[in-house]
Amino acid sequence: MEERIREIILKHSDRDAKLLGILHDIQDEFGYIPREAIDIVAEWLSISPGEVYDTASFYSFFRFKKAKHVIRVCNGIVCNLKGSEEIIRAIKERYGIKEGGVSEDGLFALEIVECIGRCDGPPAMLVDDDSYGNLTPQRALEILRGYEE
Amino acid sequence: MITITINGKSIAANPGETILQAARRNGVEIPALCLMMEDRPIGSCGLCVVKILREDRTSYVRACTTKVEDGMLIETHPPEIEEARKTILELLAEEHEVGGELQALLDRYGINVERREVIREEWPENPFIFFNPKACISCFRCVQTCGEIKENHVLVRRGRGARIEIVAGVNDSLKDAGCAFCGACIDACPTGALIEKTAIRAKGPLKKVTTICPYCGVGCAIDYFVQGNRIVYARGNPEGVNRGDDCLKGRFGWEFVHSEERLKRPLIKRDGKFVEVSWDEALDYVAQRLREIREKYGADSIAGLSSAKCTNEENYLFQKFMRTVIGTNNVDHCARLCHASTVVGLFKVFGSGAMTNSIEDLMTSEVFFVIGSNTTHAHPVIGTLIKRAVKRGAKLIVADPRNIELARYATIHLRHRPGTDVALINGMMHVIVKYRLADYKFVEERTEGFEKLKEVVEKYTPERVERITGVPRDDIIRAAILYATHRSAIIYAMGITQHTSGTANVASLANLALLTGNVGKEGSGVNPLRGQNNVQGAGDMGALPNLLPGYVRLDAPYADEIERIWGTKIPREPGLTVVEMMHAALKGKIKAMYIMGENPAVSDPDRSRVIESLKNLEFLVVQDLFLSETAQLADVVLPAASSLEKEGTFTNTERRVQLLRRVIEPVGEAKPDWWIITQLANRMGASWSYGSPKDIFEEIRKVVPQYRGITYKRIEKLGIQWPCTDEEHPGTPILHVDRFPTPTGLARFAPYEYKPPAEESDEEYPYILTTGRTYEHFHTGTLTRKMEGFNELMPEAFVEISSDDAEKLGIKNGDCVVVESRRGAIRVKAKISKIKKGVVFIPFHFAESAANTLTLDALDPEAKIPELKVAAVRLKRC
Repeated sequence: MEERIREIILKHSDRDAKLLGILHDIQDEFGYIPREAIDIVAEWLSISPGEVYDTASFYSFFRFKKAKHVIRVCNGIVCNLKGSEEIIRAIKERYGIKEGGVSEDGLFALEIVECIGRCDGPPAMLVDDDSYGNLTPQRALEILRGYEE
Repeated sequence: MITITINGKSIAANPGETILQAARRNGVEIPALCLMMEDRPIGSCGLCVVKILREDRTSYVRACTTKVEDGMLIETHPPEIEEARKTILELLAEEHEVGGELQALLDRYGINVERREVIREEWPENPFIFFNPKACISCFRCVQTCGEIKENHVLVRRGRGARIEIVAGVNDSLKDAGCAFCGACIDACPTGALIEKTAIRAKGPLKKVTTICPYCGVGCAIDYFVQGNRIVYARGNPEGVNRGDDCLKGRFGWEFVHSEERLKRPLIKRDGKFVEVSWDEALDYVAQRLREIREKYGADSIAGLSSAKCTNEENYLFQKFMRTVIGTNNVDHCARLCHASTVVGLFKVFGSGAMTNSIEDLMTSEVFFVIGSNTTHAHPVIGTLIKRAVKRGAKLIVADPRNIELARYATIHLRHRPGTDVALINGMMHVIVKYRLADYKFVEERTEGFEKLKEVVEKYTPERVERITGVPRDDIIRAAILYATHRSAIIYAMGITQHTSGTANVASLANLALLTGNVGKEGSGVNPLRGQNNVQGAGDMGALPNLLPGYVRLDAPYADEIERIWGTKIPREPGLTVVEMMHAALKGKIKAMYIMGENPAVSDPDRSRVIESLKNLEFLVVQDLFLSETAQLADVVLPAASSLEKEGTFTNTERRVQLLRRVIEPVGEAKPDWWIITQLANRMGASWSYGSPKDIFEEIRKVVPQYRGITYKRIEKLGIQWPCTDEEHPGTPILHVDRFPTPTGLARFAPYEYKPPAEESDEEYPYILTTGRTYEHFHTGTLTRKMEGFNELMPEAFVEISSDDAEKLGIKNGDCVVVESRRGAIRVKAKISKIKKGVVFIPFHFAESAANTLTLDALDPEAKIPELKVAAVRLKRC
C-alpha cells in the first residue's frame, strides 16, 4: 500500500493545499481512508496524523471504515417529510447495520447525511456515486440487492 | 495610529489590531472563553461580541476577530449584549460541568449552578491527564495550544458543528497519538475539563512554591502546588527561562519524592545486610573508615564522585572536602561522561568551555544546525523552541543517524555513520572555503590559525566525505551553504561528545562557527546542551580532578589565592577521572570511594567491569535518594534530600545561576548533601561552620571570579548568566562578543583529522550500536523509573533497528533480541524504525537490560570521555 499512497502523494506534490486532493484520491483508490494511509500521508507532508484526521473528519464524505459500498441515506428536511426514516429502518434491519457502521460481511456501510441535492425526488439515497430518488423501503432494498454481487 | 471610540472614550489604536486587543490594552475587559493567542483568535465562544455603531446601521461583531477601523464607535457592554452573554453562559452552565475561568464568569454574571457530582470519564487512556467531556465547551483552546503553541499537533477536532469532539491523534490513546504530556492543554482549558489526575481530589488551599526542575540542563522554573508535605501538581512558571513551557518530566516527574522506596535512615552493611542506624553512628563510622584507609594507603587511595544533580554549594563543598580534608584531587563527576570533551574542545578554540549563547536568543536564529542531539526528547523545552522557530520560517539541519523527531522539521537531514562527525564537519568547511563563503573579516580580525585549518580541510572533498560518512555529497554541499549564509546556531549534545574523538568533534564545530563568523552574535554560537540540571555548575565548582573552582588549573597562580581563602594546602597533582578511578579500583590502587548522587553501576561504560571494580573496594559510601544499583554495593548508604527538599543554586546549560526553593521538607531523616559533607568534614578534623547554602555561596563568590557579582538576592526572580564580575554587572547572555578569553583575545582554530572510532563494525560484529535517552526516562532511571506513569509510557528497553536489517535477521517488531558485543550481551525488544541501515540504538536507562553492558570504555585522549556512542555489536532473535 505504501507504494501506491506515495504515488498519489507525488501526483499532488507541486500544489500547496494538497491534503484534500490526496485524501480524495486515496478514497477513490481504496474506497475509504485507511488508518495506514493517514500515517503515510502525515509523514510525507510533515504533519501529524491527527492533523490529517482533523481535516478529513470535517467532511462527511470521507470515510474511515472499510466497506465495499457506502449507502448514504438523505435525512434532510424534504426527504425526512417524505419518509426517509422508514428507508433507514428497512436498511438497518435488512443488513444489521447501525448508523455509521458496516455490515458484518463488510458489504455495506450506512451513513445518514443531510441533503444530497435530490429534493426533486425525495426520499433519496446515494450508493457510492449513484443517486436514487423516489424511494420506498422495498425499492431501496431492491436497489441494494443489485450491489450484493 | 488610528482613533476609535470605546464606550464613549476616544482611544488611539494600532492599525491591524483587533477590537479586543485595543480594548484590553486600554483596560476594558471583554469576556472571552476561547481566546488563546490574541493574534490567532478561534472565535468559537461568542462571548466577546460587541456593538458597532455606524451612521446607517448597527452591527454586532466578535471583538476577537474584528480588526479596528478608523473612527469606529464601539460599545462593549450594552444591555442587549450583556443579556446575550448571560444567556450563553446559562446555556453553557446547563450543559456542562463547570470550573476554571467559566466558573469565574458565571460568578460575575450572577449565575448560580447547582453543583452536580459527575463521575469523570477517563479519556483518552493515559496515566496523567483527566478529561471530562461534560465540562468541555468546544472552545478549542487546547487544540490551538497543542498545535500552534507547542507544535505537537496531538489534540485535534473530529467532525464539525454541534457534534464536534476533541480527540487525540486519529482517535488514539494519548501515548499512541504521540502526546508529549507537557500539560499545556491543562493550562489552556477555561473550564477545568482538562486537569492533572493528581489535582482532582485536592480540596482546600494550596501553597505555591517556585523552584528549578530536577531534571535536564534547560533549568525550567516550575511552580509546585503543595498541601501539607505533599506536592499536588506542578506547572511551568511563565517568568522562568522556559516561559511557562514544560515537558513530561517537569510537569509530572515530581512523584518520585513521595516514593515509598525513598531512603529514610542511614544504612550500614553488616554481614552482607543493610541495617538502619542513627546519623551519628553512620557519620562516625564513615569518618573513621576513611581516616583508617588514608593512614594505611595514603590520600590518593581515596576517590570521590560528586554529582551534577546536586547544587553548586554541594559540589563546591564536595571537591573542597576531597581536596582539603582527604587531601587528593581524585574528584570527578558524570560530566566526564557527557561534556568533558566540550570543556576541553571549546576551551581550546574559544578559551571558555560553555554554551556561548542563551536559550532566549536562539529564537532569533535563522538556521539551526542540530548535531548529535535528540533535542525534543532530551531537552524538550528547547526542542519546542526549535520546532516553533522552524514553523516561523527558520531552517533546520539535523545530523543524526536516527530518524529523530526533529528530522521531520529539517530542511536537510544528514544521516552520517556514528563516529564520523569530524569528517562531516571538515567536509562542510571544505565547501565553505572552496566557495569562499567564509566570513573573512571575522576570520581576519578575531581568529588565528586559519591557514592551518585550510590545509586540513582541503583534503575533505564532498566525495571523500561521502565515502567516510555515508552522507550524499550534494547534501553535504547544501548543508554547508545553508549554514554559512545565515545567522546560524550550532546545537549539540552527547552524540558529539561521547566519542574517542569527542574533543576533535567539539573543536571542529567551534572551527565551523569561527569560519563563518557565527560566534559572539545573537542567534548564533556553539551551544552544548547540558544533560543534568547542574552539570554546568558541578564543573564551575571544580568537581574535576585537574581544575579548581572557576576552571583554575592546579598550577595556575590563582590556585595560591584559593589556598589562601581556604586557609589550607591544595594537592597539585591532577587526580583520576571517572573511568580511570574504576580502572584503579579494579587494580586495587583505589581502596575507598565516596559517591554522591551518581549511579556508575548503570551509567558508566563496560558495566560488568565497573561493578567488579566497585566490589573490589575496601570501603564504599554512597549518598543517594534511593538504594540505586551502586548503593546496593556500598558499605554505608546515606539518605539524601532531593532538590525539591532543599535550598541552593543550580547553573543551567546557558550558564544561568538559579535559586532553588524548598518545596517540601525532606522525607524521613534524609538530609541535604551539604549538611552531610559538612558533618563528615568536621568529624575528620575540619572546622567548617556553614549554617546554610547561602553561607557556602558567599564563599563561592570569593573563590570563583565568574560568580563574583551574583548574590541570592539578585537571583530571587530570575537567575544571572556568568561571567558576572561585580554586583552591578548584568551577567553575560552571549559570550565572546568583543574578544575571546584567550591571552591574545583571539580565537584559535584547532583543526583535527578524522580518526575512526575505537571499535568499528566487522564480520563478527556487523552492527554499530549507539546509545541515548528516551523522552520518558532520565539517566539511569533512579528517579523516573520510581513512577508508575512513566513506566506505563516506557516500561522497558528496546533496540531500534532499520527495517532492512530486521528483515535480513528475520526480526519482527516486538521480538526478543539478543544484542551482543565483545563485552557482554543483553536481551531487549526489537523496535523497527527508520534508523540508518547498519546502526542500532538502545536507551541506557534500564539496569535489567543495560546498554552499558555492551559499550566500551575507550577514552578520548584529551578529555578522557569514554566512547559511549559507538560499539560494534551483533544481533539475533532470542
